[in-house]
Amino acid sequence: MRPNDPRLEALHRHAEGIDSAEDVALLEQAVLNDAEFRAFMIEYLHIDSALPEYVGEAAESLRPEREPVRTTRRWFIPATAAAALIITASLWFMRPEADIEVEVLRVADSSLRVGQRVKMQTLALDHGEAQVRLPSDVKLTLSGAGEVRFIDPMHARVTRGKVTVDVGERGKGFVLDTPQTRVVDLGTQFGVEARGDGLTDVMVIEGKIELHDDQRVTPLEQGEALRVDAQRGQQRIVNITGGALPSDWSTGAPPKECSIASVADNFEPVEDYHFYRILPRGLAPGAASYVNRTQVWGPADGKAFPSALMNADLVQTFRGARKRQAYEMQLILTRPCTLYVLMPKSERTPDWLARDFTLTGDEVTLRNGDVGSRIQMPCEVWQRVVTEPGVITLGAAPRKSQGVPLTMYGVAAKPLP
Amino acid sequence: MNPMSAPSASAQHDSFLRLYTEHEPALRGFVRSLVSSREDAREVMQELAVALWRKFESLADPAQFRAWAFGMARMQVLAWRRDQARDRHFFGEEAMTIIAEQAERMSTQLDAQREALEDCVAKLPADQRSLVSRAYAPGVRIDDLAAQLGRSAMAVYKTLHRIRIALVECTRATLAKEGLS
Repeated sequence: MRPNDPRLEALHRHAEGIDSAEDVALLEQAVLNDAEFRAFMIEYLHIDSALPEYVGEAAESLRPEREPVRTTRRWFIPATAAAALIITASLWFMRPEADIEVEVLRVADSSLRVGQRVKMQTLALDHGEAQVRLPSDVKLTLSGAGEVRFIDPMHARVTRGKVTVDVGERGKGFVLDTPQTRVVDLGTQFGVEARGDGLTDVMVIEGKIELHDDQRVTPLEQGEALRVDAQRGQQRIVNITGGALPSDWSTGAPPKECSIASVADNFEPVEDYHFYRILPRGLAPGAASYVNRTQVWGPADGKAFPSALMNADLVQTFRGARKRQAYEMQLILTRPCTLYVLMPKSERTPDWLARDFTLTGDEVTLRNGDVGSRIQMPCEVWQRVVTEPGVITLGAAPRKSQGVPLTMYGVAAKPLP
Repeated sequence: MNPMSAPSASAQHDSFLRLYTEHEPALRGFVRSLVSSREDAREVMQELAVALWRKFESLADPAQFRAWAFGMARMQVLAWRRDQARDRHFFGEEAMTIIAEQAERMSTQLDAQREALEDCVAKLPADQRSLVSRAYAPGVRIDDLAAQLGRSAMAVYKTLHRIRIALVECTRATLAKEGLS
């Protein structure tokens, strides 16, 4: 269809409810005589009807999400440009540290004091935690033993330890160098751990970052995580253990008392970079349901949140998983427990669910953004009593009768009394 | 119906809610293709939800809910049109019937397009996502939004039009890539 087709102009006025009698006559002729235009108009108006669903998410305009495919997500750089980048990168890495004034926002078990403004070149801890605000408004949290060196208000270098960065509005473009990669922030919160074994872990809590090395740029989005080795090799990190604060993250195993030790799926190693976040005792109204979306779990309309689910160990899944028809999730359970699946209501109960689980009669809902917002999807609570520790396999998300996937389900577990 | 086998009111409500929630986006899109503004579509959908619930008992097979609801939606749009002022511009009944039939034939494709829309919206430049978010928020008037943005209302309308066209093209390309078109 030509962009200057007058029928398109008429269609846009029709869609906005500002059409004239001439517009309607022109469109009516097109509807009666041109099947191609008719199909386009139907698709256009369907999209118009669906866009209000994205108001909540699009409002957070720096939170895009897309299905990552490794072969297309890396932007390989031509040889000459790569050579220039190596030189530039070398110069960057050689830049000396500088004193910058930071404000101490939060400390735990450290000699720093909250509210203190101090000029420093290096933030180093043997233990505890410190959060500082740089003059660029970037908030940087060092958790546990580690060291961060400052180069300027928009550039720092972590030599060892775990750092969580919230760049805020003004800090877009903040650069954090690590021993294995350079992280360029595009407006977000992210975590980096420069490990003692020479590996660097990078995970995105919110928004979007880029990993730069001398060969390529790898974009990472909310809910994705990668481990980078000394040879710049990249590997998906499948499990993150979370906590109450954004800086409470770890690529290590959950605490012993957690019923769920780890989660795996059947995505190829290079097919997807999303992680599953395990939140020990984390299920409650308002708990995030996905690592890459803003939906939260809430009670059914007019009902209390099911008491059986309160404080259950929660697995936050990711939305893209629902699209895979042959999807499988494997959970390693550490103890006898009740395993719950929070399944979007649908006409067709997945076979694996009907076979292995029973309906509890409880309901929860997925809500958009916070627990007081409108219900986006009612979900049924299914359960399975697992009497022995071991591996449990779950299947694909439900599909509508036309084969289109519904929303991804949630998973929780509670130890048996 | 044998009272012994009749589902309880609560089970029936539950069954209706489940089916309506699942098919509401498709119904909303279907209604939207038959009326000339989002506000009109909202009004029809409100009436339709009530009408579907009232007649739900007459639906013998829940598997037929979608086809049944689409038929009800067509009747609801016709009834709504009759109630509107005579100076409103509508397609004639022949055109409306052709649109309705084609939209029903395309319903599987349209479901898949709505799925693909999520990723396509995410791919929009940040300023366009922000505009979509603001323009499609409940109760927003485009002329108010345009004044806030320091632009004319027509300029905002045209930008939204270009975004919708881009989203149609993006969702078509996604379906073609997945072999669903």
